[in-house]
Amino acid sequence: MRLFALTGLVAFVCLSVIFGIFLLIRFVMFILPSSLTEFRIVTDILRILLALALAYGWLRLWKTITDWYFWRSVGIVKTDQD
Amino acid sequence: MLDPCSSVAVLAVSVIAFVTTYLTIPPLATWLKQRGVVGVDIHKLNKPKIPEMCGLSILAGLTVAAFASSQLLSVHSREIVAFLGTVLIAGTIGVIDDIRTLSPRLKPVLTTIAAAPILLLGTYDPHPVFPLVGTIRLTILYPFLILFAIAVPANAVNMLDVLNGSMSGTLVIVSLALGVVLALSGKAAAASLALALLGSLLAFYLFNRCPARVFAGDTGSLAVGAAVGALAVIGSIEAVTIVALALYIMNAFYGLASIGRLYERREVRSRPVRLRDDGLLEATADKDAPVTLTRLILAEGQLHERQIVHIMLLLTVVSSALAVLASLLPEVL
Repeated sequence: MRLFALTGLVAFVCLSVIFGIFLLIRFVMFILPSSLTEFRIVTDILRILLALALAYGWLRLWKTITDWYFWRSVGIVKTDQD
Repeated sequence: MLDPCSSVAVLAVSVIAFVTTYLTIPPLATWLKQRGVVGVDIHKLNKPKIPEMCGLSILAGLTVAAFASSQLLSVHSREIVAFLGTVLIAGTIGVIDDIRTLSPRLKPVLTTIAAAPILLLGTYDPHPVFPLVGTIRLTILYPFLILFAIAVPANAVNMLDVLNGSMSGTLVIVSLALGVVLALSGKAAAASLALALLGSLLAFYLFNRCPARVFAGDTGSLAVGAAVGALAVIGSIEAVTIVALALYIMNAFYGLASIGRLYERREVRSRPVRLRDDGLLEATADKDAPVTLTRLILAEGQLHERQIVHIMLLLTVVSSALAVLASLLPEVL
């Protein structure tokens, strides 16, 4: 069960990076097109800031899933020991 | 894809790195132990003192292999110089950290200096390639991102060097995956550097695996992490490297998110794991302790240190396999 859960978690993180980058770039490019401003650097910075905000959201999601798994598992182990 | 001649040269570079590292570890470990440069192996009941800073052997292996690579491949020598410069600067910062512990905020800042050789020699392409997406133009911002590309893996690797063989073993698998991706894309110089890293780390793992006879210290972990970052930039395999380093990213982020700031292991009072009287490690139920990768692995019950590292190796195989597969995905955007 331990290996299954951890492998699933790592696979989830890897796949969310691979497909997340794809969706993120598609989404960011869509709502912030190159024609947004006449200065490329401004558009690039806005794109990176938005991408970072979305990536942070993903990281929080990983953390929530991890915390749920960890505290649930620790709780079960402690209950068994008691 | 590499031609047969380059493939042989790349493999030869890997062997040279392995032999150099393997031969330099015993005398270096003896020398360091005689001078009291030792660290306590806290996950053993008898608390043995192990020579620290033996990551210097990895630096020696990579240096000799880099020169061999420039001779055998005789192309892209700027890439080799940039890689070696990055590794040596990060290693020097590691030496300073081993001798006089740097603050958790200063260390990441200092490691950005290791990006200087890549920036000065211009051995980067500001059009990174992403799986499914293809090439993205980041002409102006990319040089700034290189600072993070070196500092983040250097410090993430440093944070996972907590168990015997955890850093060296997992990075053997990561460097193999990066070497395969670079070889498949025909980048001979970068592939040779990835396999040089593999050779050095494999030799080091033989001494560092449980029960460890040597520790890499911050000298080794910062240098090796910076080496992985340099490979990602020089070989234009940024996204693939992120996937391969998933375990490191998870560990670093979970730790940072739990504590809420950059931290040094020594300053964390609430320990995430504890050594039991039977020599097994178990996760603590302390709410204030960071949920590190080791603690996560121990969530379902106690294990021996060796078993934890084996699980880390298995998980790295999964992330590295997915990284290689990601590099083969076609562009659909």
